[in-house]
Amino acid sequence: MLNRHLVLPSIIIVLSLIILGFITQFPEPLYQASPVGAGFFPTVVVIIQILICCVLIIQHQRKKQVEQEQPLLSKHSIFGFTLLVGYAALITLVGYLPASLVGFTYYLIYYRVKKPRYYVVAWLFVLAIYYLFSDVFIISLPEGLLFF
Amino acid sequence: MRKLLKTALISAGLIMSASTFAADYPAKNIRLIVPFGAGGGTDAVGRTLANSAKDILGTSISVMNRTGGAGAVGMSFGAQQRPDGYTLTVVTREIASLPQMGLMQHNADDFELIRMVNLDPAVILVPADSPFNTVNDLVAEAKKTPGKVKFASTAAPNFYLMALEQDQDIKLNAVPYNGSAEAIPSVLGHHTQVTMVTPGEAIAQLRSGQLKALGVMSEERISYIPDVPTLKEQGLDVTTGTWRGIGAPKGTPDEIIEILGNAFDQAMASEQFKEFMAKGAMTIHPLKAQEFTDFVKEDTKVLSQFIKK
Amino acid sequence: MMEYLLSGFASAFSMEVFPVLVLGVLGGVILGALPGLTATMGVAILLPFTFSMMPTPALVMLIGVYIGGIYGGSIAAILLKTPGTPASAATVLDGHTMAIKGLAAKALSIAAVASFIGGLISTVVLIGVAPMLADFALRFNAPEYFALALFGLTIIASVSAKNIMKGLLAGTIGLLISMVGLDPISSVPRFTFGVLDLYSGINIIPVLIGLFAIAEGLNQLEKIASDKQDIPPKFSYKFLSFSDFKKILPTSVKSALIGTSIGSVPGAGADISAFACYNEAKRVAKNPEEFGNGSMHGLAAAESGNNGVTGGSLVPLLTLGVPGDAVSAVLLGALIVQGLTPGPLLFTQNPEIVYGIFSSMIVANIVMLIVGFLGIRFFCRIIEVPKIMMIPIIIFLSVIGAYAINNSMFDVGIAITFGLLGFILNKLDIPSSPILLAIILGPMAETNLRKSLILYEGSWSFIYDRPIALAFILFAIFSVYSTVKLKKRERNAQK
Repeated sequence: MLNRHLVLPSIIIVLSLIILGFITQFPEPLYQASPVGAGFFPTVVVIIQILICCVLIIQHQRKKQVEQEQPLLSKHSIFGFTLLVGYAALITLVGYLPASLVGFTYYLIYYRVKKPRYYVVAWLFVLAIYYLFSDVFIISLPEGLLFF
Repeated sequence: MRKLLKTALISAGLIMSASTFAADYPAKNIRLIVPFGAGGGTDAVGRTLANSAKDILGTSISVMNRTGGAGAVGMSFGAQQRPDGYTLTVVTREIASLPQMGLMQHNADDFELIRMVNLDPAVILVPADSPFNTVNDLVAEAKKTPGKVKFASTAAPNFYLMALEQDQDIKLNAVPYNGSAEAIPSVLGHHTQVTMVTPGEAIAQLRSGQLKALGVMSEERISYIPDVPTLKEQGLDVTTGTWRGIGAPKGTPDEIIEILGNAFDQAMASEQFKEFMAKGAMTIHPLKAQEFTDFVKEDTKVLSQFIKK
Repeated sequence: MMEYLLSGFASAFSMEVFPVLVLGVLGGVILGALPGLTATMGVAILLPFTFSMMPTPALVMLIGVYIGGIYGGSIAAILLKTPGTPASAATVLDGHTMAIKGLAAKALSIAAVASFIGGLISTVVLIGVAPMLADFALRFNAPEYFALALFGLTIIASVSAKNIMKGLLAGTIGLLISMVGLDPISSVPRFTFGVLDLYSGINIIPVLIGLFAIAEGLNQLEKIASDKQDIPPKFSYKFLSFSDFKKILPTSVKSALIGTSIGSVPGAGADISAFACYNEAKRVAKNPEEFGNGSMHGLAAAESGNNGVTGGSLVPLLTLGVPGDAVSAVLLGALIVQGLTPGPLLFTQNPEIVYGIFSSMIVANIVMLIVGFLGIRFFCRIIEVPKIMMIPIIIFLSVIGAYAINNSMFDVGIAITFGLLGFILNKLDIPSSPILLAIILGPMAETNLRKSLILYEGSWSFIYDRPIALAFILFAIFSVYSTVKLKKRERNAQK
């Protein structure tokens, strides 16, 4: 069976090798000639990273006992993540206020919250933040592409 | 796909709001994009100007800091906004240099330049106890020991230094610091020998005498530091400095540019703004839209000499 | 000097100044507690409002926001595991663990007291020896910053809870992230893939929001499912006792002094200080294994350490006329707008302003302590908010906070990405704080090493040539040595 404690270091090693490839592609500096170039530090860090991953893999091989672990992603965390992405996309489209009202309400419905009080609190919270940012701190909240 | 959608939405918006153009401008709040961080010099100028202009225009102007890439992110963002006069951008000298260096996709042609606000020359500064007393001392030392005089550079590449180096055929050892806030202490602590910043950035150290000015790189002496001779007076024909102005996205209707231009003229002439600039030792240099555009074209040409292709 | 200080106090309590001061501290605490809104931003937003004010109230208000803002960050860090500012990321390590154990009120009161001690001592040191600290600050240049950053990076090992290797892996991930963007020395783009938003590098605030707030939100969402009842956790309203106070006092005083020194060096701020003090407290602790499991000392060190910076950061501003960090850059602007010249002249020309600032800093710290204590009961109610409501509030605030820092949806994307990354890394027992520490210190180490090499024309002699740099490098070696020894002891104890 694939073990996450082996898979992650292996993925990082592969990524590190790809990064090493990118480092060789860095353009030549136009202005500042310095004794240590732009690629020096990243190269050192990537090599250390590969070594660490190798040690982690060996460490894991030596440790024999099997630990019970939770699954990496559950239904809830996936829902949370989709909600986040959807919320961000909605903000881009319609702006902060409608997106937050819709997002919060959808979340409450998803978790089958029945108390109306919760919905009222959620909407009040969204409005309070809107007021706090735009009128008290004078920070412009995201405007959508559709409404302006 | 996203870009297409965006374009479609923007054009839809344009058609919808086209009828409201100009006649009743400004009908809502104006956003002023500052491409540098809150608290910096560009931010302070932008906020103060916005503050002075809001009463003249009769609408509030909210400042929006959009930082990154030495100003490239904010100015590119500003260039891409709807050309309806409700989003303006503080443009700085970086609009002339960064596109040529391939570090910015938009350039001055993507803006309707409305007004130039200030133009500040560079001042050559050394510690108070430095052996250098004139620019010629510095140039002589640099000729004697090429690449050895340690210069605290406020940015990489540094166009102030390049102007002097090219004119005098000298080479200093430029150590790139992050702005004047790092370069000045480096000179004060004698880690480096010389730096170049604008008068406003070093006014505190100049007044207290911790730093000594070898020369100012403007056509004429600057009123805030009247004792500092220009480089021209010392026989070197080099001038350089930095500037700021206000721009709107390309395609903004002329009538709106006109309204905004007049408003900023009044704002720049207001007591509040003049006092702010005087205290910060910055020189107001109001240029009208056409003159400003020509100025930027000329400066772009000047900078292109320093930028290797 | 004494009479200036006394008249400073008189003006701090006057009708024109005192309300502004209280308002500033309160506003700062609120701003600091919200993710994404930092003390710097609060001070910058208020700056134009101060143009029309008299010099003393103007500066006092800004300083109030600064002092309140750094403390405010710790409230969210303790209660919700979502540090409001990078400076309070070290507070999460022990503060939040205490809150989980039901000691939220105690943790908050320790944070308030330690912040007060940090701020007060820092101000007193500032009043007493500012000119000497200025001299110390001027000795700092590229080689010293490099050595300081190197020393700071060794702290990664000691904040890695269980497995040092996993902590180091987090550190290298952080270092690579910090290298995205234009190389500050040669202006060469690195890992930007032509994306303009990446040219300036990845902003630390959205990363902080993602790694802590969003990851924690996702984590909690999973827990809702397991405990269906959704009953608020039990906790006591007990504050710290006098014997607790006596216990944390030495740690707090020491951290305050470390914080003041770090703050007085331009470019090194509250975030580095909090971690450095935490590291030092752990090193000298009798039972270092408590650190990370709700140690009072760890919490006190982090809190005193980050507020200790407040006084120190004014040293370069008042004595040299150069800003030490982003907040003092705004204060510099405020002074100049008021027609004052920061730097040594200020002490001779406008002593009433300087001592007015000093005395109002002391008063601001007292106000912060009172606000902190009075607020504890109110803040603790946050824990009683049902999880089902708290999670979306944290998540929505995170998105808004990530946007507000630079008005950019791109940063929101960064925060979400790092939220997922932090969530997954948590599942693999890879700690998040080393990533943050590496992002703060990585660029400092890299650019200053390369600057030093330019300064020394390619020679590495600056490492042993310059006493302060050498001292920090020795500290770094010593820090690694003592961590290794500690881990060995822990391992033997387990057997």
